[in-house]
Amino acid sequence: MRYGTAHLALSLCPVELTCRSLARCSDPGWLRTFEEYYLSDVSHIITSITNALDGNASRRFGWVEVSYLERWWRDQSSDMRAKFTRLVANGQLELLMGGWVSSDEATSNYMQVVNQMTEGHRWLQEHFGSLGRVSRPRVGWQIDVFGLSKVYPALFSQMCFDANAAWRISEPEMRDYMPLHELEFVWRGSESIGPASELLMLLLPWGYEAPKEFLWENNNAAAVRLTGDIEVKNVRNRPHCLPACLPACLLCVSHSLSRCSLSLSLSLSLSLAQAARMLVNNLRDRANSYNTKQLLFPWGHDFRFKDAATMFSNMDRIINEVNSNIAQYGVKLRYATPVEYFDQLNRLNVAFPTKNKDFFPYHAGPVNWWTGYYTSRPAFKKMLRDADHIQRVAEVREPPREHFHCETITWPLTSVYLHRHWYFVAMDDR
Amino acid sequence: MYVLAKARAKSYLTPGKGIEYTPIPWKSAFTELEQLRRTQGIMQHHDAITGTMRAQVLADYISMVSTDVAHAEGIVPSMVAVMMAKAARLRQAFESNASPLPSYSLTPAWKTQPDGSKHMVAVLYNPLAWSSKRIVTVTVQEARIRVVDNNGDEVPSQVRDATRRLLHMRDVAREVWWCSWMVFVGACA
Repeated sequence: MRYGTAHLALSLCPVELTCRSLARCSDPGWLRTFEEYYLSDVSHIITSITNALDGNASRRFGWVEVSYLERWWRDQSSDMRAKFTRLVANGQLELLMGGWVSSDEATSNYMQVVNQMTEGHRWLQEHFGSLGRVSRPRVGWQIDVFGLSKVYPALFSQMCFDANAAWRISEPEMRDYMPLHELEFVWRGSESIGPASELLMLLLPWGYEAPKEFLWENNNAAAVRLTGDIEVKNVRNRPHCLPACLPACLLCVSHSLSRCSLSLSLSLSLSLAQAARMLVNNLRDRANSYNTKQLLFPWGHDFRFKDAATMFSNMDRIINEVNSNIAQYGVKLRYATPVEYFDQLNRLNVAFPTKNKDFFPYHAGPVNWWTGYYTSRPAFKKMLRDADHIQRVAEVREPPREHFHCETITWPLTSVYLHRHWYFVAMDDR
Repeated sequence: MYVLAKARAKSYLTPGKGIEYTPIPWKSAFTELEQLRRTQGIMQHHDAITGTMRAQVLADYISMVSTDVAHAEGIVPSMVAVMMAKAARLRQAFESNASPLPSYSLTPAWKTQPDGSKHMVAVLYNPLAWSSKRIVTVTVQEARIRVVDNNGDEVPSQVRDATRRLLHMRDVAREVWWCSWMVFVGACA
């Protein structure tokens, strides 16, 4: 079955592929609270990324959580907002998924998953809707949820997404897929909905974390070795000959940060070659498990790219080194966004296998089954279910009186307008 | 069940017997509900509702949810009052053959365009988990009306009861997808 017929073949414009850059989500609360993360990390990340991309047309970045973007937006000047908007408009900054958060797929409920996607997309439409197609996320980015539910392809396909990406499925299962080149597959979310519930799925067995040697910030211990003359560890042990079957390896960048700027100097060509060789070897290992000669390589990690200028300037040099010696390295690199990757995949017209199962529970190792979170903190889970009920009653039953007198209703109607007009339901089944 | 729920809600609103409430202006209610939606959005995060967060983060989450739910709970009685009033006025309007509920109701309001033409917008939402196609009925204020969908294609319709000013829209041109909606625009013919 070809994945592109229902989803990816949607009036996609050709994209000149050169290099890929993409992002990892920032948790809206985990080890620290939402506001703590925002103040210590996220605000700097988005600002840093915006400045690093501005004026560097080849660089790319993807942002996931609209909750943080909305928080950051409130603090920005009109100039910074305009700069961010320009980057969205020219495709350098891709809005991924567009949800208020990256939601859990096991313990959340249907109503709230739709709500949080609606809220995120509504915000994006309000602020970037005039930009047209680029304001509408087309790719899901569920790369950190603990197991995957097939409700999501059913939902995302109905939201007109082209594809989704994920990491955490059972490790033995992932290992089985790798030699079979089944890390990309068409996922059918619902037998009753049928082909309309299918979505192209991309699994990332190496997760969303790039090799630490290529994260030049956050006082990264592994990156510290990459100083001065770039004596990169392990490079000497790597084979120097590369297969000639990898002509276009695509590099994706993710958001992250750096507490101290290491200002890695890549001035020595020999050391630069070592770093390039190390990266290429890593890419080659990954590419062997995929169906095509394109590779999506997420560059980043949790809360990285607070020092985006350093990150990009170092990677720029490595990319230039590789692309200046394509015959030697056997690959071509460029920054790119997931949409560019999936567009390119669509043009290749590859047939992918089809799956229609859930990926639960998440099995991360021999004694590492992620099932406890289904019931952990039960009082909190109950509290959220109760909140769902209150929200449903308070929100749905009130018709927006003033809306009917408002002469500024936009066309097409916004999702929030619709949400508050659902009482217009003329069908009998409510 | 709906009748029982309505009766119970009505008893709440009886002066001296039920709960006391203060009507909340729509705009402030909207803001509070929007905040609850956003907080609930954060709670769907894979380190929130899963319970995999640190204890102090949990405390922060609970604080956020408690605050916003309290605001929403304050809105609910006002919502019930509006519902009851709406039902009463709607019935009265039908009985008197007057224009029902000019400000809000099941009657979509007419919008006057700059060129002088008038149109109304009705949203048909399908809350089901499957597509649906059926005849729908919408109350209108003008009998001579032409109905189009959001693509501009005309939707066959007829006036079922001109006395009550009902528009009977039949043979909906397209199915409404599950959890989806379509928009109809009625313009004076």
